Amino acid sequence: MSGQLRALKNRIRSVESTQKITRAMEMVATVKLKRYQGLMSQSAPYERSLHAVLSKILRTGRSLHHPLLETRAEKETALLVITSDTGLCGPFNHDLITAAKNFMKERPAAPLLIGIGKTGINALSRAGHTWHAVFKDTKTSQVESVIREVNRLTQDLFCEKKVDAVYAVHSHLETKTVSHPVVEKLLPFSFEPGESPAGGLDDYILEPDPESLFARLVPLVFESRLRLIFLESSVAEQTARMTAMHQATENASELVESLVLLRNKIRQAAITKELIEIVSGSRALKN
Amino acid sequence: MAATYSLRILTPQGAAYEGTVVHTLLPTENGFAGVLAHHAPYLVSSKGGTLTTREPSGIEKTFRVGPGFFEISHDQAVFLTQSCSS
Repeated sequence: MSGQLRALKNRIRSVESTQKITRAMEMVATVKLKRYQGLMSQSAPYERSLHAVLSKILRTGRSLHHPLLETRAEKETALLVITSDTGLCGPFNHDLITAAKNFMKERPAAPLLIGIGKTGINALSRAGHTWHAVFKDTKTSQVESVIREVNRLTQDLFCEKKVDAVYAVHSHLETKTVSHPVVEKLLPFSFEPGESPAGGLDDYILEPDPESLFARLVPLVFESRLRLIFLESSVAEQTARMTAMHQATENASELVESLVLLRNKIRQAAITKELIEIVSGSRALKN
Repeated sequence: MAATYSLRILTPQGAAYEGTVVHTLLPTENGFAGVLAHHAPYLVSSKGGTLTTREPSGIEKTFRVGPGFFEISHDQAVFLTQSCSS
């Protein structure tokens, strides 16, 4: 009986320490989430202004060309897979990997893979896929350099006609807490024409000329699109981890509760048994 | 008092500068351009370099900016760039 009680006590202690860890991880995820949300809101005004400039140039009505907008028959494609570097975030990575695998199944030729995030890279490597480029263990301070590198890589691949289209599998934030994996076509780049023309652009002085402005603007808009995708994925990842860890903490506290109940029952049973022994012993002595 | 307009220098890391200025000297593709208040709507690409602003108090501020775009219309100016340091 006492052996069982001791084992139960150890179990409770171990569940409690696991609960402490999951709670700490939830807090860490919350802090990281705030940091990424901060980065997202910081870059929002820049992106808005960039798109405003773009829609102004598009409104000039000139036929504008750029290598990144060129549509070709899709023979070779590249796929950017954005997952997380660490696990313990519920179904987040699994969903993304499944989406990537489904995409690859649909393609006649295997796409050129570019990976961000260790989990996805490892999972697809195990499935026998090879990588063109990988980015692992990205710290918050390295976000910008990774974005620049991915930007350069995808633009080079596309402009040198090594690939005819670039897709990305990433997590899209539906609302603040709900996200789901999406496959998005990055290149050839396309953008919404923007809101309807408000005010004439004729009185604008454009320097050097709309074509050159457009040529300089498109890579910047593409990079800002990549940045948004990357930050959105990071926010979705931390949200998923926060939810998963919150759930784990709650499960642990439920488990502790039921184990404590069981322990109390066993202890009570042991006490009752001892009392019965004492009482029956003294009765036997009296008789 | 000299007429003023609002200027914002925006980078992906947030606003590097926000304030009211009298004059901005910015590096365009074809040399420097000075912009005063009531400027006609103007959109220009910049090759990056030194951007100098003069505030109503007379204080001049200098920034090192990366390549980007400058836009002004109705006394609202925005400079968009990847990097900016004062």
